[in-house]
Amino acid sequence: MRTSRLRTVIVYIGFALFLIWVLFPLYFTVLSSFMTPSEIGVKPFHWWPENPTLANYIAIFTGDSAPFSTGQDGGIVSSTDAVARLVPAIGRSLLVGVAVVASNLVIAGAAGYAFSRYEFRGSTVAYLLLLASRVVPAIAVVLPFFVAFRHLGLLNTSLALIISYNAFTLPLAIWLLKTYFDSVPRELEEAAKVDGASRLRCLLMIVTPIARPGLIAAGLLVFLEAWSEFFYSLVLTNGLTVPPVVAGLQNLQQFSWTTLAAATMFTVVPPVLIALAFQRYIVAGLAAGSVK
Amino acid sequence: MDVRYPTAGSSSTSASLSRRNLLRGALAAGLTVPAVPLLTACGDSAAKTNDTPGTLSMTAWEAYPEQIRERLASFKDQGGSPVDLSLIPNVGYGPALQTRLQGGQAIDVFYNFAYASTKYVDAGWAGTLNDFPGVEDLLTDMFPASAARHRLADGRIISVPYFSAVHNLMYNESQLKKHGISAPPTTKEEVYEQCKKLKSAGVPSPYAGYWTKQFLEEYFLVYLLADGITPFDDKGAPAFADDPKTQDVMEWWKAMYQDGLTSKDVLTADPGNHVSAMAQGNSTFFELHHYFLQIVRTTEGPESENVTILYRNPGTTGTTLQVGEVIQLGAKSGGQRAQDAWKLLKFYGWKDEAGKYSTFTSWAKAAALLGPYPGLFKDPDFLAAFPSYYDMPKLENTFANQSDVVPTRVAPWYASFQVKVGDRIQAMLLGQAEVKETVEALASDARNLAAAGQ
Amino acid sequence: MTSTAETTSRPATRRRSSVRAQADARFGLLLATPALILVLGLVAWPALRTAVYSLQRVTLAGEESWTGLDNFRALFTDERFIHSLTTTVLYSVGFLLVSTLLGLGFALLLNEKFHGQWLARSLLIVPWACPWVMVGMIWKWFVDGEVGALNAALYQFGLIDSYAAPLSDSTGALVVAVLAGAWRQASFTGLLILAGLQTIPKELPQAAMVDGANVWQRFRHLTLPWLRPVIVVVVIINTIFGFMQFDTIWALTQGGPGEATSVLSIYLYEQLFVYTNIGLGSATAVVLGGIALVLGFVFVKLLYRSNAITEGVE
Repeated sequence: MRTSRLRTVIVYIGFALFLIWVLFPLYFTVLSSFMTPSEIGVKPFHWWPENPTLANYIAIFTGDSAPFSTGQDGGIVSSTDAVARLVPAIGRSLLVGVAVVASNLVIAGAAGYAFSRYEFRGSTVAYLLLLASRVVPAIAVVLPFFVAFRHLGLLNTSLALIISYNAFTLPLAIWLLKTYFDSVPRELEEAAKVDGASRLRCLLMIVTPIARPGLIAAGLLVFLEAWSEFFYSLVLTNGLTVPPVVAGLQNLQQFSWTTLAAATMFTVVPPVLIALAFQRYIVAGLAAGSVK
Repeated sequence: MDVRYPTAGSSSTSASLSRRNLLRGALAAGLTVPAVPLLTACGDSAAKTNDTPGTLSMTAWEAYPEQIRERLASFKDQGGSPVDLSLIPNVGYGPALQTRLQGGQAIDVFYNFAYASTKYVDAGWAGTLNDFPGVEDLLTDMFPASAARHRLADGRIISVPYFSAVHNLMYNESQLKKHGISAPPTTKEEVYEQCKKLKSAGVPSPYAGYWTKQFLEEYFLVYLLADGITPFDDKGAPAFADDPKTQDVMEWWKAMYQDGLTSKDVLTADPGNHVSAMAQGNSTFFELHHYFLQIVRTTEGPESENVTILYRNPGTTGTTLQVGEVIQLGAKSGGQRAQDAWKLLKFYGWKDEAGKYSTFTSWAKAAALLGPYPGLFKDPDFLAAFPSYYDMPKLENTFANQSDVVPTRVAPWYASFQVKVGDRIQAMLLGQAEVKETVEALASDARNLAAAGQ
Repeated sequence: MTSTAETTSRPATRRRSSVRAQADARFGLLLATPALILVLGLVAWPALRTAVYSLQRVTLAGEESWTGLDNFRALFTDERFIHSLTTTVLYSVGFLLVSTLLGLGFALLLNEKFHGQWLARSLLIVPWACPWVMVGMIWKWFVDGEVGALNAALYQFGLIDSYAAPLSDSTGALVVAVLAGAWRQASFTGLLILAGLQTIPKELPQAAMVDGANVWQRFRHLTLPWLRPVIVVVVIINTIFGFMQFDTIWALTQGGPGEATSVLSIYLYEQLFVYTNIGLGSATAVVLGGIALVLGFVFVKLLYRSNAITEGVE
């Protein structure tokens, strides 16, 4: 069949282009992280490192900020301890991300379920208001956040970030979960109620297990937003999480791109692994949200 | 669909009780957080001062953190207060500090950019230092010109120095010789000609400079000063616009970029790119703060050993720009607490209790930074700490006689002007604006911003 | 299958059902309350304050005075603001188009069966998992004029004569900013559309095959109408993300060269933290958020209409 052969050719060309689009920038970053600054600037370009080096990674683990300095005159004194802070920052980023996901799913799950099942006076307005809050530019409202956390004594703590990230990720999560709940048939809940189960019990015991793909998709969305956040982490804490620490390295004079690339890997690999781990739920979880 | 669900023991009363408790708990938890900004976001900045002595709080950007901690430990050893240090990554230090002070946080001592220092005093976030003991001695100990960064024309003393530096041209001596150039350039025209020659001999981007938006304003002043142009008069008015030489300088600048004598990425490249270009021999000249020589020298590369510094910037007068950042006292510190904080300022920005420039010696060793005190150049410890490839008498001469701090740079509106310079000169270099209109537009920007006061 | 709710409530008396309806409403309100408090308290309240500030002159020391619409007048007579506004429109249109079309293409591709499909589906998630700031950093170096691999590849394939430095060129910088942003967003878009594709009942395309519809006809008359709601959702999300984009552009160009990529969010940042003009900054935030809100509202209207259409067809 000619059309099917044509289809095959088109699909594989598309696949190749897709691979280039997704992988090329990342491959360059990975490649750079195993090269010396002098090799990365070589023309013609080396598509594979001639002498692969781990110096960039070692620099990050040891806190040596100038891995390619010649060391004369005693070498450069470390101009930053960002590198030394990177590993703890990854831990804190994970902690903040997980805590945001957990609290967010409870809050957004409850709200999304309410908007899907139990209309109350003003619920449509409330729902639209929640969604609309997504257009508030975060940098314009950082000051009230700061004041609130100062009074609560939460400055420079993970909790400040957990609360703020919830405020900004709830709208999308509520939207996603409401549409997911909309797609879950009501028969089971109704049947359970006839048998005397309370509304809360229905939600916890019946709806939640069925809604697992939706919860996972929303959770991942929230996690990635939280992991990605930069400005609030910088202002409300002294840069407790990963993005400000790594972005801060860019301005340092003795940091070459190769070391920066290695640092970038530390911010990219953990969320990628987590996303991949939950990958099979994502499409199913988003499916309901996408047809309503 | 027939799906079993667990019903065992679900007495409806207990379920609804637990439900109610759960929801009440959630409600209470939810309420406490947002209630706070509602109650407190208004009128917070008018809080009173803290006079109680104790642990001081200090906020700094993250440069040489080991040295900072060592300095603070040493301060305590010499009888000073203990200090609680907050380090903020360099990127975004300004917004973070501004938000914290605006949000009412009490910080006793903080690093600040010189261009923001007056603004912070006007906003009531930083205090004036006129009444503290020894402040006049500190200022008299300085190079007279440098003091203008810390004492405003109206007499207010607003800061002490954190570090100082001068803009210089670094160059690769052996590369020049190799291409038949016997001496480094003394004028801008020579810079251009030598770069042309190097470019045609195969040096990819002969001239390097940190010409990004945020930094362009320093180069604007460096290039003006080197040809004897006064950037601003005593009242802060844009005198550069009245000097016909300004246009020549800008034409030269535009030609340097448009004729391909710099790297193509020069408008967005970080200094790290230029440092490695110098170390690799892809660039021959590099105009930036003097301490970058140390960074180039210690970066691995075949040419890094050959790079040296030209202590007189190419131009008719060879004057250069002296830059430096500052340390300020938080406005919320009062009484004995302020006195303790002032001690820290003196220690950190001038001399320790023993009368030695130990903090500047520490910066010299770590980063080849300078301070605005002539005494440093006579202090054997300081000189010994400085990297050996600097010619200290020449550096002192540049600092003392050949550099200008341009006092207008601490005016409250100046940070806004820097943004305009970045935008307009990049547009000019890209050929989107004529030199003449750029100069005129910058002059009117300066006047308008000064009139608006911000 | 949808009307069980009515059938189960049928035997109840009017009184009982109204009591139950009230209890249901109370339960709904209770469930939604934490989210409402958190979002309205932490975001809506400061947003309201921002709106108030936009009508005031506010000094850094905290003194406020009413100035009516002066801030907005100042904004709309400021060349930089107008330039910023047009740049934002250009950026978000580019971001929307590239993200949506690529996302659609990826979803259609990954919905086909081929060797490596599982790999492609895993890879689709990867750009989405990269933080916005890092996307900016990676692309900054990827297109670099000295070491960038993009230049190296184009050069070795003979597509360019010498390395280019797109970030130092006004158009180039905007194009790279769009591509970098879309690199991440196209993945999220692709996931959403792929999810939509998977809900297409298997019988539909097969029935169409029997009818002799070709690939394009099937796409045009079956797939696309089915995807319409998801595409509207994607368009809303991509528009808002495009309008609000800050991190990637900041890491990439900081708004440069000149003002080439100085979108409204960067203008807003400068007003708040460089010019420290809180009134003007707040007015900028109001304009930025307002435009995004209006666009979102328009698209929501479209969404409801498109639902009506698909329901009508069925």
